[in-house]
Amino acid sequence: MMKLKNPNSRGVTPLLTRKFDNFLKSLSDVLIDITALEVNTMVVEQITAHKFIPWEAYRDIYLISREELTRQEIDPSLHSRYLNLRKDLEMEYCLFLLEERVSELDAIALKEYTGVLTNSGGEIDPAETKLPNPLKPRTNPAKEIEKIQTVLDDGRFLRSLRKLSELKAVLDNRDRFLKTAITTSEPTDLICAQSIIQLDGKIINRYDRQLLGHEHQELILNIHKQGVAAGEKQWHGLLNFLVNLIESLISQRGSISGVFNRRN
Amino acid sequence: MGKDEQKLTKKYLPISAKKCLHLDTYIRIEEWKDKQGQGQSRFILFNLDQQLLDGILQAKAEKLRLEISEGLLTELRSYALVDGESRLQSGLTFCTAYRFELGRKRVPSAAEEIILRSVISLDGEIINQIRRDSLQDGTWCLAIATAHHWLISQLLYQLPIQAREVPQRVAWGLALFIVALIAILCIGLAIAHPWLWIIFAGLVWLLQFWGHRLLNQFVPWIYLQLLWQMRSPYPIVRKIVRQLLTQLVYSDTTEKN
Repeated sequence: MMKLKNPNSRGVTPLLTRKFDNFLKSLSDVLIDITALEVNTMVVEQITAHKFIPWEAYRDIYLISREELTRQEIDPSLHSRYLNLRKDLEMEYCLFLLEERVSELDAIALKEYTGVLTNSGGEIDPAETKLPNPLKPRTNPAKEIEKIQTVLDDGRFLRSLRKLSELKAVLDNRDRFLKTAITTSEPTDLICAQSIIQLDGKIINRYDRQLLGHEHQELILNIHKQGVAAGEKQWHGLLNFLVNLIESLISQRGSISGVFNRRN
Repeated sequence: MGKDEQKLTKKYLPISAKKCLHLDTYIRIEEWKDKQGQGQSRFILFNLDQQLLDGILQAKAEKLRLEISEGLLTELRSYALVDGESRLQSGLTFCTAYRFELGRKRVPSAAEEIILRSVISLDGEIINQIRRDSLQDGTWCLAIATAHHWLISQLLYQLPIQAREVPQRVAWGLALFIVALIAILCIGLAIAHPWLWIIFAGLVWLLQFWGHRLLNQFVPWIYLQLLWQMRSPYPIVRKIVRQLLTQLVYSDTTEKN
């Protein structure tokens, strides 16, 4: 990768140019990441207009640990789901690192990564974490912060972080509800229904166990179906826009001969 | 369509001359800044009430189109691509709020509440959230979900663009400007050799000819650069950039319907 071959370029190129270049790179990368259309339907207690600020999202998920959850008096029934988010963040970071420098790593270093990736338990030992620390940078604060900025600049990592942050917001709301509600009604803040439409046309539907026998089962399924049908159209528009733009950028880079051909 | 329904449409819906539904005032791009004023987060909010809800369902049934102003579309395009920190957008958020009327049994006072929320990621993952208590009224709930999705579809469907041809006069202007600069620089020489003016004239023509074609080639690039610059903290810069952006492209409606 260019970034690794030329480490000095970061300091030399003006910030804006670097940001724009990174933006262009993410823009062309996003098309590679498209494998399927996935529509999730969730029934939630409350919709707070949740804001996504990458740095905050990273910090908040990084901080999740068993001690922290107990300290914040998070409802014990939610602990494992919170810890799972932290584990997913760790995995995403490992994948990011692997992609960046898989060719440079030796067998021992690779094993360290696969250790995280194959961990099937719900928790990762805090001592083993590879994530850069946003709060108390261990040895070199500037370096830790730069590491976080680099990973946040990665389009794929950022999208994964966003999804994790969405799930965390739902858990936070759920926790708040459990603390204030007099009666604990059925827990619904999960993905109730999920449909995945693969590029080859195959459709996979998954439904949560809670949905079966739910008093509004029919209605939720109808809403989900509606979401899937609309989702296809919505994404089509968005994708058209992206492809259109990327296409015109590529064709513009084509030879100057295009300049001559235009007239006719 | 019944007569009553027709009346309803005429009474409540802001329908433009092109037979499109015009709801710009009910669609807002909301913005937050964090405490340091650096991190930003945006989302699109639809503000509905019972009249609008009925109107939207009616428009959908009649296959009317949602008319969106170029200004709002440009804002949307910028939002679809660039997040608050100048990175590629990680997810577009759309919320539908509903204004309950006084006296409705579930809500004690007139209040705006977000009923539905959709997050659409560029890589094809969509999260739809719905408030649990809105499930109580099944018909209403389905209706508002229909309106919510229709609005999003309409907005996203109108995003694709085609580059506009750069006006010839821009190329002429640029060419004249460059040649005038050259002429001023060697004014002494030009006065001594009047035939040089013929060369200057030829140069102007050549420059506009090539310039026009080159400019056209770079429209997408310039467009993307400007779209990315829409995040400027100065409202006046944003206004100018938005104006330029609407000049550079037009909505690509070839694939509609």
